[in-house]
Amino acid sequence: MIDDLRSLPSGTRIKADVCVIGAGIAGISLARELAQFGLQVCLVEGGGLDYEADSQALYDGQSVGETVSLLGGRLRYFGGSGNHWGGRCATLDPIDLRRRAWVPMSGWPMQRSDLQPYYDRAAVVAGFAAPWQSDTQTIAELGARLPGVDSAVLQPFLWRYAAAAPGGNAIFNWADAYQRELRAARDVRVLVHANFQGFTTRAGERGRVDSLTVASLSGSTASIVAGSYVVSCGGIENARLLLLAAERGGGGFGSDHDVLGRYFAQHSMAIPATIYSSSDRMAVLQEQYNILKLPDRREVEIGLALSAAAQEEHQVLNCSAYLEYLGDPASGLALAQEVWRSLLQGRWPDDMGDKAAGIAADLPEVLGGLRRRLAAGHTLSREGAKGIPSRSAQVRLWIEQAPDPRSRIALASERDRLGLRRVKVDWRFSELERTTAATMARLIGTEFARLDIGRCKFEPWVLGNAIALSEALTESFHYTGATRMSEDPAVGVVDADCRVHGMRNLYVAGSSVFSTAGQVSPTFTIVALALRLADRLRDAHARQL
Amino acid sequence: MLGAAQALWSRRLWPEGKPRVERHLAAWLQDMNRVVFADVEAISALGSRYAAQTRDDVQGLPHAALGAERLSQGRLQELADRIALDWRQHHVVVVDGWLLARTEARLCSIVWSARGGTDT
Repeated sequence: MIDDLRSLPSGTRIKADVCVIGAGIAGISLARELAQFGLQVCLVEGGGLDYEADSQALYDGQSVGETVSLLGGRLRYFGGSGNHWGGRCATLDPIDLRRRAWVPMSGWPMQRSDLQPYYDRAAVVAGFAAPWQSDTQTIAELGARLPGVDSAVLQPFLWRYAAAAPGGNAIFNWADAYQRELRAARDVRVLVHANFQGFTTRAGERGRVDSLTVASLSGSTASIVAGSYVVSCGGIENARLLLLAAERGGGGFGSDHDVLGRYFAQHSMAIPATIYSSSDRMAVLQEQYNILKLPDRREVEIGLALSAAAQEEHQVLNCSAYLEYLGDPASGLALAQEVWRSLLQGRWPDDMGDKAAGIAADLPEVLGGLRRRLAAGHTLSREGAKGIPSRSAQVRLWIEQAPDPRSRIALASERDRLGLRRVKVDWRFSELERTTAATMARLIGTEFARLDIGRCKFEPWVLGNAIALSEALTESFHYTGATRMSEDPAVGVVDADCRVHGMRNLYVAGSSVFSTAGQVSPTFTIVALALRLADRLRDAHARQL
Repeated sequence: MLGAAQALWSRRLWPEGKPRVERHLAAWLQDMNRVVFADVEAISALGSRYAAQTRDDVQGLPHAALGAERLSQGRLQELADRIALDWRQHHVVVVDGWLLARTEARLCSIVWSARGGTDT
């Protein structure tokens, strides 16, 4: 069922086996799974069923380091930030979970093979067929004939788009897919407009949560008494809520070793280089490194990733690249692309008057290009469609970040409408990311030149440290690391079961538990870990019976 | 590649003050890739930059004049093979932002030098 806290008598007390705090992708996936195990679940969500400005405003805070868009990168209502998810699904590489001597604090307390069964289950949850296909299998199914890139250096890499329906442009949305199921579920009680206020702990037993207090912005309150509690409010808010709990409780909640909130990371996104070629060679590239459709009309994007061997040889982070094809730079289509991209990024384009004149002068080509894109089934926001006359393509990178204790989430002095301290984020870059970008661009450029595909020109920022990274790297909204996983409480907030160190019945779900993030969008791993946590909670409750 | 470049020079294909192979070499580079090697000016500019950033590498190239007007097919094939080997072995350099095979960069320097370039 779905209840609204505002319509319940204030002071209502709800009992459940598990209380899941936050109805985003992790929380919804976890609640469904727990209910299927027969556990009673209370899923509390601070926002409503749709976007509300006053709820979203609770996400405001301070960004004191590299720019983090605290309001733009997150959504605070049922479905969470999954409501603006781009749909990209991919799995972590084995190397991502290993300790890498050249990446300080790397290594998860589990192997990649431990995650595989949960990726297979996550595939079903995200609307794919199970088991999860390997990239090799999918490339074969696509019939893609990729250029013979040296696999010891670079490997083809696939992002699979989770679609609401095969062949459609709509991205799979957890809220849309599962709201009806949860409303009808006998064992799940969703409580919206229920904002975290604090945990209470049993007297003399700081390591055990006794109840959760929630409040609406209108002043209604409720308490949830559960056997276990899971914080699943997103990569930033998870750390903030635990910090608030620790402040109120005089420690604990994962704060005892000053790790909580530290090691905050995102994939940094960057354009290190552009590939130039003839239009005929570029057309061949466009046929392969692009968004392609599987026989069942689901979309897959093919890019490139650094091989594990190359990461080790060059002592760099994991990194992937996709190509964004540009129309001829002076053509109306290219100008229209530039304008479109600027507007998507919230910027008014430079020299808009000149660009508008160029677009008008080339209007038939612009309209023709748009028609080709739409005919190919691509939305305007997805670049890289086939059939656009192009002689150049930007190399767009997703770069892993190295764990850095100075990159952190803390509490600001300012308080929100609920009286809780707002978040303060200090996000940092490192030179290892620049080195990684330069290495990746050089290897792609070398391989493409070797194969006579095209030639690579670097952006100035990758050639030295004269240009600040903040001018080159942008955020991805993939917030990780602030409640990182480690068996050692001195360097981790949660253990391998996602249980908060020092707490008997408090867990964390979401990308904040990632020890490191590899180069892939975190969503699919978030779901896999949520399903894994569901298994652990099922077993824990079975032991209590 | 150094050997091939030196061979070019040693055959005295390029009379001092009256470059003849320069255009042939530049045209050959253009045929390889017109984006990077757009014209002789662009090639010469790359050569100048490369000479400036790797003086030791370029100082090894003899500046004696060359004699013939065209490079033989065999010599050009040797250069092409050398460039292909550079790509395979990751012997690459970045010049003015462009990723070049080291042999390409040296050839650009030869063009630049033959056109009278001296400042590095």
